[in-house]
Amino acid sequence: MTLGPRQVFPDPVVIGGKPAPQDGKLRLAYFFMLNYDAMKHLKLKPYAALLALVALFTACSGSVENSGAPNTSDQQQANSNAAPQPQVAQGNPTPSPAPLAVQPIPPPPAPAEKPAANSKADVATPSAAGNARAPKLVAPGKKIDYGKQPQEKTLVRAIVIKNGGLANLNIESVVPS
Amino acid sequence: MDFPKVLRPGQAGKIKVKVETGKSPGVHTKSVTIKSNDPNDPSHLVQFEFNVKG
Repeated sequence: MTLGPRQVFPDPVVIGGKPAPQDGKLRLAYFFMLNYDAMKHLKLKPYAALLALVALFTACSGSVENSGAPNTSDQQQANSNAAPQPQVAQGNPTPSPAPLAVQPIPPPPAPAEKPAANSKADVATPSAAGNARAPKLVAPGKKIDYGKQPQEKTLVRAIVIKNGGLANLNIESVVPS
Repeated sequence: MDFPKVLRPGQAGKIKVKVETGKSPGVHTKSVTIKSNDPNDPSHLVQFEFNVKG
């Protein structure tokens, strides 16, 4: 037993107290509408409820590809931690985003400055070495107390000096002032 | 004044200094400047202080 439009909606179809148009196309359009009065008249309530449930289930279920994907999603999650080869095996033509790989930081341009610093150090080192090798005059304190002395007397004293450096100490002059 | 011209590293020398006390009593100060090739102290000043009795 098949139900056709003409069998479901016997003429005249009354919707909201007004007869439905007699045009075939309009009648077909009215077929898909939930005419409660017509359904009540023809006792199609169970079918309407079933149709509504099917429509609701279809709307909520989504596409078949997504509904059957739990296993594949798990596989994708499992493969996400692996190398990018599984993605190629799955035939995903879309280019994958660039992997978050730590790129080596290029060496800073400091080497150009380092030689300068080294050159400074080299310049400073010889001077320091020069100072280390330089002669060093070790003389007594700047003030020597001779104490009480008689008038008109010639004092002859000796000042001991020493070369505390690593090079020869040249005494250029000893000038009284 | 007698003084050595060159002192080798570690070598010591003596500089003989003659000071005239003079007639005026009191405290007097004389000084001697030693000039050498020491880069840190090229001109070293040594002072002599004495008190002349009146």
